[in-house]
Amino acid sequence: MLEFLIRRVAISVVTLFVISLIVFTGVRMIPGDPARVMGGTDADAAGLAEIRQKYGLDDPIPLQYLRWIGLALRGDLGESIRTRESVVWTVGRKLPITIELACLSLLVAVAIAIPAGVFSAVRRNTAWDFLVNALSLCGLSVPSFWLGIMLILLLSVRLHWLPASGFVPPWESPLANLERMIMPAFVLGAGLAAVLMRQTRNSMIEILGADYIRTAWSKGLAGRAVIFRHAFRNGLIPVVTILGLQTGALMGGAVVTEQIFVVPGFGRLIVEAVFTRDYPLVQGVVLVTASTYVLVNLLVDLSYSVLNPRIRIGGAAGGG
Amino acid sequence: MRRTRLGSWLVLGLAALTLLAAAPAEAQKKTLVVALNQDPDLLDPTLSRTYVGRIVFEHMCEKLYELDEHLRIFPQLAAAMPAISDGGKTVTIKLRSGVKFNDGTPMNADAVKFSLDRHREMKGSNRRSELESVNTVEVVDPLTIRLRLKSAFSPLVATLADRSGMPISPAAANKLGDKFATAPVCVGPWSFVERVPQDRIVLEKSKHYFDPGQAHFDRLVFRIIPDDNVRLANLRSGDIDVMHLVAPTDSVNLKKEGRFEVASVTGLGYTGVTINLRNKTGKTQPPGDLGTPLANDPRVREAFDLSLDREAINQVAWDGQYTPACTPISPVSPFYDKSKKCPGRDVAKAKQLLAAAGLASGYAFELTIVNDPQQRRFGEVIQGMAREAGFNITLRPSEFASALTDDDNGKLQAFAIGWSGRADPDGNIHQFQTCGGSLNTTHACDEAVDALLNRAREISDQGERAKLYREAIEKIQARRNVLYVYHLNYIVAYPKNLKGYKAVPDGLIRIKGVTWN
Amino acid sequence: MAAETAARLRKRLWRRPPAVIGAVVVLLFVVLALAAPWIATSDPQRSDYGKIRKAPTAANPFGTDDLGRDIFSRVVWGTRISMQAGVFSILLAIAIGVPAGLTSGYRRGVTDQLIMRLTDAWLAFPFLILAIGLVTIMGASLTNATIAIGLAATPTYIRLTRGLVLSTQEEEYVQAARAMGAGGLRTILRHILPNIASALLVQATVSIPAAIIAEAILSFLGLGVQPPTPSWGTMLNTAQQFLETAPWMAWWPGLAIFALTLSFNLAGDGLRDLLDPKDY
Repeated sequence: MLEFLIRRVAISVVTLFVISLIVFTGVRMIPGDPARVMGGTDADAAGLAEIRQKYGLDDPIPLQYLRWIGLALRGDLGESIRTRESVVWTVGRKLPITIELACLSLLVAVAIAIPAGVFSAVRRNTAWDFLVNALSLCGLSVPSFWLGIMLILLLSVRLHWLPASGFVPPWESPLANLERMIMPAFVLGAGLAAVLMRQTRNSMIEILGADYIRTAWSKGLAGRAVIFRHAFRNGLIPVVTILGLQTGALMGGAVVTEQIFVVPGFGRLIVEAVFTRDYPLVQGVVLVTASTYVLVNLLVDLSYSVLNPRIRIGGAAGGG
Repeated sequence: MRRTRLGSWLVLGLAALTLLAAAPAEAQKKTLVVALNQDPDLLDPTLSRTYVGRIVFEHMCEKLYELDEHLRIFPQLAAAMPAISDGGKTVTIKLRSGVKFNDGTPMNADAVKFSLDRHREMKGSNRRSELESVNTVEVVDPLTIRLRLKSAFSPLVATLADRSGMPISPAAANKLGDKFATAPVCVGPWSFVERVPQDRIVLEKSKHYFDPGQAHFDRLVFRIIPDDNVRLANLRSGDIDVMHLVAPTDSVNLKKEGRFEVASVTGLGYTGVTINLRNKTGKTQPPGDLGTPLANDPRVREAFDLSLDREAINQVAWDGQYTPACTPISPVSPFYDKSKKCPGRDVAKAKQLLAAAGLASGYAFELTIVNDPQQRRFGEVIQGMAREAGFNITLRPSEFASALTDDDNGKLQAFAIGWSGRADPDGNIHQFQTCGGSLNTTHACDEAVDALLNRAREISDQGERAKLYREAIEKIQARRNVLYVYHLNYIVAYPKNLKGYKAVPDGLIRIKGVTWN
Repeated sequence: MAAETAARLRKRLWRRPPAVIGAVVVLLFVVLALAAPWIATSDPQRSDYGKIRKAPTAANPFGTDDLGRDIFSRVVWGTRISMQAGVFSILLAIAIGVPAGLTSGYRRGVTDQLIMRLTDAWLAFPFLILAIGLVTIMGASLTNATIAIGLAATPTYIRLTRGLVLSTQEEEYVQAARAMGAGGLRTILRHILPNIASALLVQATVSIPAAIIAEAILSFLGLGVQPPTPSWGTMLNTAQQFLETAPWMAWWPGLAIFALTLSFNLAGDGLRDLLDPKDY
């Protein structure tokens, strides 16, 4: 168990290192002179030289990288060019919002997908199964930004049931916060639910046909107990895997959803930062995103050992 | 057993809903929410560059002079119009007494001198070129300052009616240095409370302002909503009160609906197509030959100009809500030449000109536009119209800041861009059209034009100045380094029970004096 | 023997009408894309300033947009963009991903570790954010958007191929062949490629619709196709401003994306069943 743990963590660290390299070089490749962007239209040659010196833009790239990484490890990701706020501070303010959105979306997705998936697995090849499958396909195929726009048009403008957009922190007013998060959470969750629905169904069917389930049946345990205690736990494994992998999709999907619903979260921050060439912010934000993904997947892998002890011995699941 | 528990939860939930829903309605009355379309950059008058920043400053950083809705300049933090002497080279300004900054410290001549010097000299200041004509700032007495200019400069007062004329609290500036923007302190009916980037800026009624009766709201919240659609939806649902920059089509609908007041005023600025003439390596570098017909042959530019139907562009792209233009001076300005009419479309002549330039089979060039839906539409209309005359235009949408950088560096052939405009016509023309002007990215250079524009900023007689500008604009229109196409109308929408709003041609939203019915 | 297999496959296919419908619709869109010049009723870029934002009529079955252009023609021409972006981006991903996965799976050792760590890192960036970043670096255009999407989709194919290589190597007949001395690349390829083909095809039917939506999103954000070329994403972006006065501007491009993606997913489902039938 310990060996497995260490191995997994070591792999994650290497991955994080590679990520930081990609982020750093990637940002350096964005066209446009960062000094000019920071200096603005009125900067003259002397002003530009000042900026280059302050940010060390003239140093060799490896040195700049090491400096950045060194500071990052100490928790300093630099300053946003536009607002002069510390990147860590900005990220710290926005990330919880997107996390809240992501969690709500997961809730929505799980609340829809798991019952639907289990239901269609138990009632497989009937009209219900077909209906669930159709719903899932629609959820996969509908473009989220279109769905978002249509929802705003219907629920905010026409029916006035929900506010169109914005964000109110949950400690200010939990109700106002939820009012504004329902639609974006639904839009994000719908796509995720579609994927989850099918995966749940498939893995439930597999599990239900598995040997240890048959054993449980034969031992006379009541039907529902069998499903929920044994099948469920194991059926969760691939579902959890998907959740881990989908974190990336969620963060990406959050980009457009946050634009449309004007949620001041991470997704909008990334787009703004990229569009305004705010290099320190872009670097910091992308680094945090990718690292979160790695962390989540690490947790997912570690949770396997909780869900199915057999995996502990079997070695790492999936890639590497 | 289960059902009743569910029932009681439902009832509790509904009760909570109604309670919480009722609360915001009361709070809204004392707080006014204004939606802006962009996030201001640094809230530091010395460093700020954005237009929307000026809207926030209106409420928390007042200035020495201010504009009224007829574009007349009147004293705000100054006590009177400045006394000009010494052939225009000395400007003496008396300050209003009893004025305090929002941190309680007094606004006196020392503080104003401190601020002006900061605007002129601080590293990275974006006010430097505006105050270039100022040699020194002296304190005459605690309520009088004197500016000694290098040469007479009549647009100075108009400049002091903008960020350059905003005094800031020396105490706060010394404490925060170049981080002043994180907690700015000036003179204003409201003072800065907090800012969440890309979301909101919150101001609250100032305890130190000298005329507190003008601030009828306890809190002013500026929400940043870049998406036009979402901003409008928020207006309709009541989540915001005042909407900045209503899109032209939406304004037509809003007016029809009748639920909101829609105030439209022709702005001071212009939007057009800036054509690069000789900027090869940068606006501060020596000019070079670009080797293209567009840059070198005025006939090609004239053909392009003639292929545009400005009235139709206004109709199609802006639903007729903006104002067609062919000069840098807006119709609202007293310097506007009412006698001149804009040239109409003449495709036949355009084709002739292209043929004379040896381009009868057509000519292709790239037009860079700012990447937003409005400008894209503008670009596409131009593209379609010019095609009929034989121009094959490729549109290149670009993000605003990088487009400006490219423009500076001479990388663009043609750029659809505007200027938000200044009260004094000098602010719309001089830096763009003089040889070596700080914003002259086209490297257009004509000594005759320079002479006219320089003279116009030295004398103060309005009639004389207007004549000089007329002459200069004729020459500028002939060389066509900037094709002026329209003046943006600033359209603001707000609920009908909001009273006292005055639309000023600079387009800035002013909540001072505004109140609920 | 081949006739029997074909007959069996056909029978299985008919059992799933949705898959057939999906495949047919995809083919329809392909035809639409190829035959756009003949199917479109007018020039998609021709503006009629007298007909701005008009509701659907016989002359303009989908209505007109904010510059008086026929929406039907623009949707038809937009099919080309979406199909191009969708298909070519995934072809790129396969072209890079498969060789990389093969190398990684066959060679093992340091090469494998290197490629896998790179892939892990690559996968850690959300697909869309990666695409946005790449387009920002390369500049906005359809080609760059296609390349960006392809690059963002590559790691999936690396992992897929590698996994297949590894599992095939475990197969007994391969081990037997090895024991007989016929190890090496050619053997692996001969045994793996047929399997890979079907797995790739199935994955592609999932990737292509995702790529189509990605192109729409990039164009929606202004990072893809440039005006006046019609793309469903840019059309949706413009339509946002006119949702109340001209909602048809949003219906048709949105429906087109939906229909195309749905069809790919349906066809993909059917294909998956066909090639890897688990009797569910």
